[in-house]
Amino acid sequence: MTAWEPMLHALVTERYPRLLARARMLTVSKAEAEDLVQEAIVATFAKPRRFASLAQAEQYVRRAIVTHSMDASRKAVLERERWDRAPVTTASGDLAAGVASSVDAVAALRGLPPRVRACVALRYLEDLSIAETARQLDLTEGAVKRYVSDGLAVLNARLGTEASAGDSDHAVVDIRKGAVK
Amino acid sequence: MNGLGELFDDAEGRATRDAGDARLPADEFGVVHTKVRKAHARRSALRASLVAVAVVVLGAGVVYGATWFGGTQVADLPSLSATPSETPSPSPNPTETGLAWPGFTGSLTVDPHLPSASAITRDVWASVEPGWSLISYREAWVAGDRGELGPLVVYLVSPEGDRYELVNVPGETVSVLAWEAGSATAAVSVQPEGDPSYAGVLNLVTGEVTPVDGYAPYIWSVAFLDSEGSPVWTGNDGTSAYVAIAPDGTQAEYSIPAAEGAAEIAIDELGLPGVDCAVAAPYDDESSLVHCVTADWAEGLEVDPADIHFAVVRVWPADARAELLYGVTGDEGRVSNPTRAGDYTVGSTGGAPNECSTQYSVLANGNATAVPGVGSNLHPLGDILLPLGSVGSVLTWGVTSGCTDGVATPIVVVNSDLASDEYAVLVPYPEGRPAGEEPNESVTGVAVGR
Repeated sequence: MTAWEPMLHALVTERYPRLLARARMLTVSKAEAEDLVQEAIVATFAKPRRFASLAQAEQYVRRAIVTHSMDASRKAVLERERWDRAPVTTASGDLAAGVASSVDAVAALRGLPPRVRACVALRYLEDLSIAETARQLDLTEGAVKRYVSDGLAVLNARLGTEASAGDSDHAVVDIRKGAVK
Repeated sequence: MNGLGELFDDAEGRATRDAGDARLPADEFGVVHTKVRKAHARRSALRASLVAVAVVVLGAGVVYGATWFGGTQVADLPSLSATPSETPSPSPNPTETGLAWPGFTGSLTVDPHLPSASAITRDVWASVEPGWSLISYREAWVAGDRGELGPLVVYLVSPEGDRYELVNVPGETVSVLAWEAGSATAAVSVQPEGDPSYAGVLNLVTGEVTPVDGYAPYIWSVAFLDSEGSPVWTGNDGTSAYVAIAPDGTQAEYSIPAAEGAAEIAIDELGLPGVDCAVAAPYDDESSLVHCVTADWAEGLEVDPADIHFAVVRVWPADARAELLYGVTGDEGRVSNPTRAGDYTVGSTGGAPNECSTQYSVLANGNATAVPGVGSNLHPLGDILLPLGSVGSVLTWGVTSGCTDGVATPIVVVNSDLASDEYAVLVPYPEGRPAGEEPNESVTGVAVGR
């Protein structure tokens, strides 16, 4: 057995539900989420990385899920239409009363263009800094800033929140403490 | 707290509960396992095939890389910048090569939300050559709860920073993207209020924009500079990864030459545990720039600050050859966003490893030398550095803020001569604006004349 195999087996055995949950935040259907998780696992383990812990491997895959959700969206010609429809079919009726729910949040997140969605997800779900988000997505820091700003404008409008681009930037502290979700 | 974070946390908690004890079916796990195994097998085969070549051609680059990462720098190394490119030639005699006068109005817009400038004259226009820039400028600020916009003016700017108004463009915000020195038109993107952006060609005499098909990037979207010094843009959704835009507005997908296998070679040659590399920019037709970061540092686990965590490597895939241009330890900060500028490689450096860059540097021989003008307090909050174009040894770059705290501020544009250590400010930070009207945006686009 090679070095990567025990970690792969442990990851799939112990962390699969959490990975699937992350993917469901970004995809319309469960089937798409399952495909996305598998794609992210393959992409992560296909490279010659050495993981110090299961938590580290999981974090890598969680971020890869976000990155690959962006790539997958590029490939799907009709996907934009599905994104646009998704919020309408899943948002709660509470928004009419000005109360956003987590269901609305997911629907709104799914409705963002792929790059914008990926940037917002990494900033708000992974608490990555702009610099780290840029590296993860192979974008410039300026582009990330702009995508996050655009995404938050849409989310705030749809959810009634007041998030600003500077609200999620505590990843530096967490990372330096060695904290891994 | 703004509530969005809680909504997402709640949503992911709900999704996790819904996932329950979901398991990857055994047959699908088998598919995943097989794909990973095949990927490693291909890597092993590639490595084996490269060994024979590498023994002969790796030479100084690999020896240098290994030695540098071992903590000892070698003194006599092949220098990337030992022979700086020639500086741009002096301005041609206008009487010999002067440009035809396109019929500019020669007017000058005076407004507290514009930088100082002069009206364009025939003599000035006649002396335009590659290295002069077009800069579109419009200040934006917030008054109470309302967004305000100043006038939009497109300036012709000399390499030394002399600004001349070409045209005042009323209405929608325009960003210049590409321009051929001396031409009376330029490729632009247009950002209408409330409507999608679109690409176009701006008439520099009349201010009219003719829409064209294609991607409409903003100044933030420069990915890197190509071998000619022109910006290559990060593509938008549904397009290629990179897009090149010509002065006439035509667009083409851009692929980095010599990228195939480059990241793999960099990983192998650096030999660091957990290193993760990706092709970042072109170098020339035979080699590319690869950016590497160690997984340990990226994940923030137990790391030794003395270890190298960030590196920029030049890789020749056909020769399986790699040369470390710059590598930094956890104590030294970071390096990112490398690009070529003439005969030089530059990148964002400095700052804490997981924070934002504070410097813009020439990277060569394991050293980072500050780009002229960096550290001169050109911008009060500058932490984002943008390559905007280059001609000869002169790099045009911008500095703004937002990496650290997300606060948008105006962009300061600078010309730095990497060969002479001189610099000129093309557009300064807007000082002295009316109280309550301090802008958060200014420069909307820069096109260095080719």
